[in-house]
Amino acid sequence: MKLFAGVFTFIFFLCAFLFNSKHSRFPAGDPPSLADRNYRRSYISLDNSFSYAGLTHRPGRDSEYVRRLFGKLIQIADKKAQLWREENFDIYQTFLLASLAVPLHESSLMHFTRRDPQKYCYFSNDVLVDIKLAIDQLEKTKTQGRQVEIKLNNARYLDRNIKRFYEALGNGQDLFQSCDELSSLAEVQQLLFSNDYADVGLMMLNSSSHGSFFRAERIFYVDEVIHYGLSYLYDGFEEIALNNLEYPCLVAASDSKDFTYRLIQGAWSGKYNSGNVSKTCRFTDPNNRYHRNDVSFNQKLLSLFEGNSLFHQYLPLNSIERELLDLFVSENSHELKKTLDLILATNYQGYEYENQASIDVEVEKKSDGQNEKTESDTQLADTKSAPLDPLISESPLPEYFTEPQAEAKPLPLKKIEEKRGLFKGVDINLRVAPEIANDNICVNTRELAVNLEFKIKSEIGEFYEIEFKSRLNIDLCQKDIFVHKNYVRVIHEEIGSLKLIELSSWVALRDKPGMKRSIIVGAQGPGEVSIIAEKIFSDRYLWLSFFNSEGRQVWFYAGKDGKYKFTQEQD
Amino acid sequence: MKKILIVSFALILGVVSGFILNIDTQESLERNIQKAIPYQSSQKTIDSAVILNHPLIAHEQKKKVTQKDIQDLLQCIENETCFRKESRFFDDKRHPVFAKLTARLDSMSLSGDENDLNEKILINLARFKHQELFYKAAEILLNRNIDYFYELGEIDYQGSEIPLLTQFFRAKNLSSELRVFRNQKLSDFIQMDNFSFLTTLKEMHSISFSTSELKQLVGEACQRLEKIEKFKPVYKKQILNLNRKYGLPNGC
Repeated sequence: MKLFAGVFTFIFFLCAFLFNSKHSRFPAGDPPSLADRNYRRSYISLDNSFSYAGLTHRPGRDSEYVRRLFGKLIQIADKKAQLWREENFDIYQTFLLASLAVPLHESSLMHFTRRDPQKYCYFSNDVLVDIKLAIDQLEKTKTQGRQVEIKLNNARYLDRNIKRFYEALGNGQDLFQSCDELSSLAEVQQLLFSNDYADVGLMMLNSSSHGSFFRAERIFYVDEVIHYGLSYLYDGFEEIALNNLEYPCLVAASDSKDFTYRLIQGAWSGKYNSGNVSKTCRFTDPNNRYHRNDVSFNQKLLSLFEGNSLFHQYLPLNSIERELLDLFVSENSHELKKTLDLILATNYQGYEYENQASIDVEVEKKSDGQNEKTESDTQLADTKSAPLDPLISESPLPEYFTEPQAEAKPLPLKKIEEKRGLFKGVDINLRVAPEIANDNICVNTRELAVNLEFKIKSEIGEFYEIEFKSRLNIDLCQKDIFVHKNYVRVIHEEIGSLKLIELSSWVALRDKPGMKRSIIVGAQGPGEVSIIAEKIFSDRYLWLSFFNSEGRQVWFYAGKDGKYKFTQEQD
Repeated sequence: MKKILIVSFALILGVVSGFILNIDTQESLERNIQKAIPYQSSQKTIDSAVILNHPLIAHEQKKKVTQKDIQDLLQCIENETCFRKESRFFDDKRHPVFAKLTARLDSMSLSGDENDLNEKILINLARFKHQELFYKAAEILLNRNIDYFYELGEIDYQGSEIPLLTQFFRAKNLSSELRVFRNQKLSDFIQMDNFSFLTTLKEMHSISFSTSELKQLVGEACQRLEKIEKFKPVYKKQILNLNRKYGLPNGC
């Protein structure tokens, strides 16, 4: 009897330990902070020198974060799959589901979080300050236990893969500060990396494979990450949907529902995870060395259909986002379209951060500072279909940059001119191609309110390619506008000195100077560029401008050491 | 005592004058270097990195190095020594080696040395169907000799690669010969797989056609549509929109 009691007691405590250990980090019934779904070491804390923007997770605001992320994903996915909406709603809806499933699997819905560095800056930042030294120290103590061994492995991952991240960004290798250095800040912006630090962010984009995306520093802009990631996903999705007969795993679908499920699996296994549509049917091969990845993705996809995904856990029960999620798996397409239209009309901007030092952050924390639900989560549950208001002040931000570049000034070479023009005469046809044909007229100038001045971007044969200061409100005349040279009076305008500099690495190009109110329009690699204008903010931060290969004026921030090699002033 | 003083004074004078003269010589050497570079008027000095890269000083050297780099990179792509095709993620056009090649080609264009690249190299660069490389190589070939450009038509374009060629033709004043070439390629693409077919229809919206050209191509698209089993409305919509744009009767 004693033996029985002893065995019973042992089993009881063992079971209690095993079942409890899985959930011990979270109070019963309360989901954990979304950011804690990933390892703490997978987040790298950014200091003030980074420029970033976009939806940012905050502890205690999980529910609101997931609502906004869900909305953004659906809105952007809708744009990508617009072609299908009217013609085949099933395929359209399948792509929306795929757009939810991929970030769910890749990052557990995380990109940025913003937390107290005292509590959450951990390991990675310290190792990054001097990787070799950290590895040496860990190697010396590796016999001291499993924890040290794990740390050593992770430090080696960092050593191997973070170099590629540096290389892709082209900003040097001293990007990150130690946790100690960051500890004076109240909060830090943290960016999620994969466990081996090779992939980054919400869509887990690989810094080597998606190099051009990183070179333009777009990884620090959440909307850009979603746009890019979903475009990449859509490319593969559309191809296999149309050429479905070429893929045995799609042909084998038992019915249309099974087909759409397989379509999502195939789009992820093929183009998204393998980089190649030829690997679309990888998910059906249990002997493939990456089959484990497919099983894991399948589990996440299944959770969307079974109602136990992270979206289900964090979206307020009576929110329109949750309603849409439930309608996706129902057969009620009429209701689905209605709710979808509400989401597409909702403003999901706001709750976003740009450079942390320039933001007046509103913090709602309980007195003990723990990650607990705030009022906003409860309120959200009642604000069905209401547009979400920004929680963070969106008043214009001061230009904020980090490193002064007092010595760096490019040298004048010669004066240059920009060509501008005015129409000569009336009833002049503007065309979408540089040739006279009846079918390429986009508008006649008599339909334009005033005689607009325009920039002459280039000359093609007998035509000028022109650009108006603000876009014309005419569908066909959005870009590529041409006018015959005979009907243009050219004005030569001196716009500054031409200066020649040599870029030593890649820089992100923006349409205007300054981070605020400008958007990234491309990237420029090493080589000489002819600078046509410069702007200095706060006497310290230098922006330079040049014409890109399309003849468009673009700007880049030139305030950091090593971005370019050029002359120094003589004292 | 006087003699010692005079000798000491002469020695000090000699050392000081020598020192001053030496500085003058160094400064004039620096000035001469500066004069060799047309930035002198700005009264600013130029660091060694710029001097090395300056086209007047190391142009030939830089050109040779860049050309060799391009050839090496081409070779390593052709031998597949740059790639690790066995790795999980392999999307060849996203391989960093292409970014390097593009930067080298940019560098040649910026210094006006693109004509030193022979046609074979340019055609090989275009063959990789990497967007930036393709546009740069195609532009140079088109300006050089149209026959070289036609060789780009022999490349096997499929699906998402089709816009490479079609977008190149946008906003270009095409000769009638080139228009025929472009239309023939579009006609070929229409006959390819479903994804290539739809991609071609989408691309045709941003290309300028004469009415007869469009009628011809839409006719071919309508014939191709008969072979489609699934998602027919998606293709039909594209054809409908194309016809509308040119004021032609709706549909096939």
